[in-house]
Formats: sequence, structure tokens, C-alpha cells
Amino acid sequence: MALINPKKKEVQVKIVYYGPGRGGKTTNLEYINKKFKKRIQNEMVTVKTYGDRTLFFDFLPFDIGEIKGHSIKVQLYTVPGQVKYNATRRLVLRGVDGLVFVADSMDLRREMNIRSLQNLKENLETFNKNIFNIPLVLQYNKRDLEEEGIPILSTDTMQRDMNSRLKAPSFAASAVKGDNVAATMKKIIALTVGSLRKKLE
Amino acid sequence: MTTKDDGGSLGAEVSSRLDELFGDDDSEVTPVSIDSSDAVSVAAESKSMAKKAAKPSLDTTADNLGEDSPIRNLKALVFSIDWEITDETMMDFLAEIKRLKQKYKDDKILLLFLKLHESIGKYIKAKKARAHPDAMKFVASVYKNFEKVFLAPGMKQSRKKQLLTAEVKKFKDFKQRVLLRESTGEPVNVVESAAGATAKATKPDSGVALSLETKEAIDYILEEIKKEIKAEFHTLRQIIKNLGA
Repeated sequence: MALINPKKKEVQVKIVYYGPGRGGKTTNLEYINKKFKKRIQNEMVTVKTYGDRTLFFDFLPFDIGEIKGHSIKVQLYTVPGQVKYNATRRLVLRGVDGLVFVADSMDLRREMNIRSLQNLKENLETFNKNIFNIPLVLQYNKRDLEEEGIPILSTDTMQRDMNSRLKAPSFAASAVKGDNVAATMKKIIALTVGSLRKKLE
Repeated sequence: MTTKDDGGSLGAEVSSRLDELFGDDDSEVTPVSIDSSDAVSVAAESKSMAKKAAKPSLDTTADNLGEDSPIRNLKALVFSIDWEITDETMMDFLAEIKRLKQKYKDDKILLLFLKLHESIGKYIKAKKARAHPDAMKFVASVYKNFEKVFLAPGMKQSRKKQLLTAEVKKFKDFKQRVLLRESTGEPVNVVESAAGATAKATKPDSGVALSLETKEAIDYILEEIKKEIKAEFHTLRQIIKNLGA
């Protein structure tokens, strides 16, 4: 639930990037942080241990200015991919307002994407949230792998696997190259802030 | 449904603000495979995308195996356990290793790689969520070099041995770290070595922490601090209890 401070006219929106391990969630945030460093004016916080795996979370806060008389503060989070840290994953979902599901386009990751999405659905349910009602954007990441001759799933297949019922906005993307990373972020922020309109008006 | 609704005029205002803030991202101009007329819905995959020459990738994150590769299933299982460690996945993983061991029983190098997989697989199966955080990293590393050797039958024997030796060394180091971790409070666990021998955890002497890598040393110190704090709290609780009595 977004934190709204009526006195200060301030709204804090929490957006979580979710998805299978090594799918590119942290890369999304790193790209945003690097590309828009001057405008974000905040440091990305990464809590890591043991090499390159995110064991806790990445956190990137920034302001988008005033909308309808409210100052909007956005917080982007990622969650660890390994299920052995599901407790942490669930914890990061507490108070979530919007979600980006970062799916891995690699052929071999097909089953993992589906399982991870199912896991998201279940974890949301523990907070009495419904995946069909929460602002959600799907990102089909690692499209660049095809250029290297690596077999990837077609976006049609990924849509069928994950989005046939959800019907959420979706983007084919390459977090490494930055393709559609900002577009994904813009879409989820617009959806999430849009979902708060009754509270803001 | 909120997922399809930007929130009317509010959504438009937000979108316009976001365009002002993040609109000049060059990467959005050339989306990978999306209908540029509607960046929100994914269009059908562009079938005309020219396929560049396949570049062999040795990264375990890349799918460079053919549909009928004998190790494709193993690779899929390595990915699966990276996401979720369950009895079912681990049993499938160990069954696949067993199958491959039989298939490549005459190739000593491949066989030893598979034995390394088997050892670490048994350890992860036993410990599950409590497995050492480096366990998956080790599985990925062993698989990476196994695939490297497997995909290059013409590779010199000495090079193959070199890759195997490096993994055996990593395995030994990993085993030491596991033993140390166990000795800092967790129950004693058995790690089966590739050669079939087993090693049981023992309490390290007071000097062990000094010889560790920095991060391991920090973990060790943190564990010690935690114990210390726990003991302090216990004492405080006792004092408060006594004061109340």
C-alpha cells in the first residue's frame, strides 16, 4: 500500500522487480541508475554477499516531482531469485504497489519463468493481494541473446505461457543493452500512480 | 483492472512527467522485437531477424546446446536447482548424473566431472535451504567446465585435465568452507568427496579464522558477535526477571 502523507502532500510508491534468478532484475535497476544518474540524484543500494548474487535486495529511490499537488517518491526494489530466500522475497513484497516481472527469454528458462510467476502469485496471496488486480508489467528480457545465436523463446510463446490470463502490458527487452528498460519502468510507474488516483483526487 | 488502466488524466500526467524525466533514452528508439507503434503490447516475434553466425558461448547462462544434446537435460536441471531446491529437482538431477555416468563411463575426465556434480548434488539435497551460499556457484562452475570439455572432443588431454584439476581444487576449498560454516554453530554435516571418501566437520582451533578469506572471516566474526549478543540478552533477561521477583 502506498504511503500517503496528507500533511506533507507526499506519496511513496513501492515497485518491486520480480522474476527468476539471473533473469536481469538487478541489471534493470543498474541501467536505470547509470543512465539517469543526474536526474535520480540518489544512490542505488545493493545488499549483497557471496559474489555476484543478490541475496537480499537492491533498492533505488527517486522523486518524479509533483503530480496533482502531491510529491511522488518512487522506490524500486529487486528480490533475490533463489527460492531458499523466499522469506526475503516475501518480505520485499510487503507493501508493494506495483510489480515488474522480469522473465528470461532463454529457451531453457521457460519452466523457471512459469514457476517464478506462480511463486509471485502465491507470495502476493500471503499479503492478501491478487496478481490480477495489482499493477503489473511483464518484461521479456535477454532478447539480445538471439543475436549471439542462442535459442530464445518467441514473445508469442512467452505471452501464452505467462500473460494469456493476466493480460498485463509487456515489453521485449534487453537490460544489458538498455532496450525497453526505461519504457518498462515508465509504464509501471504510470500504472501504479494511476491506481492511486482516488486517493490523490 | 488496474494493470490495464493508467488512471485516466492522472496517468497521462504521470506519463508526461516520466517522459520529461526519462524520455531521452536512446535505447527506447530501437526496441529489440516489439511493435514500435505500440510499445505496450508485445508484437509477434520478428521472424525476419537475421540470424548471425552462432558464436559458441561457454557461459552457463547461455543456451548453446542443440535440442538433442545428451547434456541438455542436465543443463536444464542445473538451472532448475539454481531457482528452486526441492527433493524432486535434486532427485532428477542425481538421476541424470547417474545416467550420464553410465553413458560416459569410459571417459575418465567426463566421469570425474560427473562425480563432482554428484557429490555437490548430494550435499545440496541433504542441506537444501541451509546449503552453503557458494554451493550453487560451485555447481555452475563445475557444469561450465564440464560443458567446455564435452563440447570440444578435440581438446588436448592436458587442457581437459587442467580444467578438471581446477574444479577438484575448488571442490576441496568449498568443502573446507562448508566444514568451517558447520563448525560455527550449524549441525555437523557430511560432505562426500568426488573420490567417495567422506569428511566430517570438526571444530576449528582458535587460529582458523585468521587463515580465511576476508569475507569468510567476516562471516565468522559476525557469527561470534551474534552469539555474544544473544548471551548478553539472555543475561539481561535473567536480571530483569530477578528484579521483578
